Amino acid sequence: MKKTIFIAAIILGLGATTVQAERFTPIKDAKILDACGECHMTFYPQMLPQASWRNIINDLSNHFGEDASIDATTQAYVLNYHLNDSADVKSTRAARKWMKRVNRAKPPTRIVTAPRFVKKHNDRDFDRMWNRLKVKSKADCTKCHKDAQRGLFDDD
Amino acid sequence: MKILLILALGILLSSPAQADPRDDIIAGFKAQGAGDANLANGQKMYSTTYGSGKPDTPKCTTCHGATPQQGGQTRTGKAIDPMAVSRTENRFTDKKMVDKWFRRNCKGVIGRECTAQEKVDFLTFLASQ
Ligand code: HEC
Ligand code: HEC
Ligand code: HEC
Repeated sequence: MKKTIFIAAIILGLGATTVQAERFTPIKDAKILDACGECHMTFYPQMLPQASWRNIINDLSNHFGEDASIDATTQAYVLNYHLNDSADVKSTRAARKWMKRVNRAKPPTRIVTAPRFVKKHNDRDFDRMWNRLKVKSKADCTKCHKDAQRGLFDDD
Repeated sequence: MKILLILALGILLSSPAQADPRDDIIAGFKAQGAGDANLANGQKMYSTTYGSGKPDTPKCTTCHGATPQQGGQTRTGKAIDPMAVSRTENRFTDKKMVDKWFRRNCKGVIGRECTAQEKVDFLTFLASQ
């Protein structure tokens, strides 16, 4: 009896998730919002493997052309937060999708070069939206995905 | 009587905390050696193209509004409220925030930290806007 319910739940679960895009848990941690949400939305740790986050968070004074440096205590906290939830240590649907085809020897240097991002953003739909909304940067997820900060990317 | 005295003391003691936090921040920079504000220099800083810092951010208005009354945008497209205090009331009221952004933005734009004098000029100019 228990087994049937269990199997039914798995089937239902699979059925429900295959029609949806991945979801991320919204980031509510005030320290992360403060340190990493001032210039752009707070990106989800599950979009990149640990090695990528380590490279990014250990070099904040040279952050994609800007100085995003923070004090050492906050930096350690932010790093730990990202490492705990990275794509290669979580087993959620989102994490698995974002790890697919990642070259572990050469981890992505940013989200917009991660295989999952590239795969989803290289068609005419994307180009049209880019021009229509006059987007300045591919990293401006919220411009096209209104609910990105709530963890949803299938709203368009 | 005693209670009244204590109350009066309490009010006296708490009133400095009610003062404009911007004044405290500016007083802090003066204690580091800055003199009176030079508004013209503050205005100049706001719109000068330095080009001596990081290549993508040659001037303050790369991100901040073209005028202090206008909003700006980060390079990733996130909105920045106007810098003029008349438009964004709580500008320059949190010392930690002021220090952090002066440090980052002066290095990024000018290529060095701003002097205490420059900070007083910049803040006072924007408080007057
Ligand atoms: C001072 C502003 C600023 C702060 C603070 C900041 N960033 Fe960034 N970040 C940027 C800019 C600018 C880019 C590059 C965007 C572009 O090229 O369009 C960027 C890009 C990124 C990217 C890559 C996005 C892409 O293009 O794929 C990641 C990941 C990132 N930041 C993480 C963080 C983390 C983690 C923190 C907190 C420690 C943080 N950022 C804090 C300004 C900032
Ligand atoms: C110029 C607009 C634009 C920007 C900017 C943008 N996206 Fe997208 N994104 C799209 C479009 C259009 C699709 C739909 C593709 C599809 O349905 O196959 C999409 C699809 C996705 C999907 C797949 C959703 C699904 O339904 O499977 C994810 C995940 C995603 N984007 C994440 C991001 C992230 C993360 C960022 C920022 C780093 C971002 N996007 C920036 C336009 C954009
Ligand atoms: C790369 C983008 C960028 C550039 C260039 C830039 N700023 Fe900023 N600045 C920001 C952001 C983002 C904030 C924080 C968001 C906010 O205050 O609304 C900020 C905030 C500040 C603050 C704190 C505001 C407050 O209310 O406490 C000061 C002071 C400041 N900037 C000074 C400068 C000066 C001086 C320059 C030029 C030398 C400059 N900025 C150039 C992006 C930039």
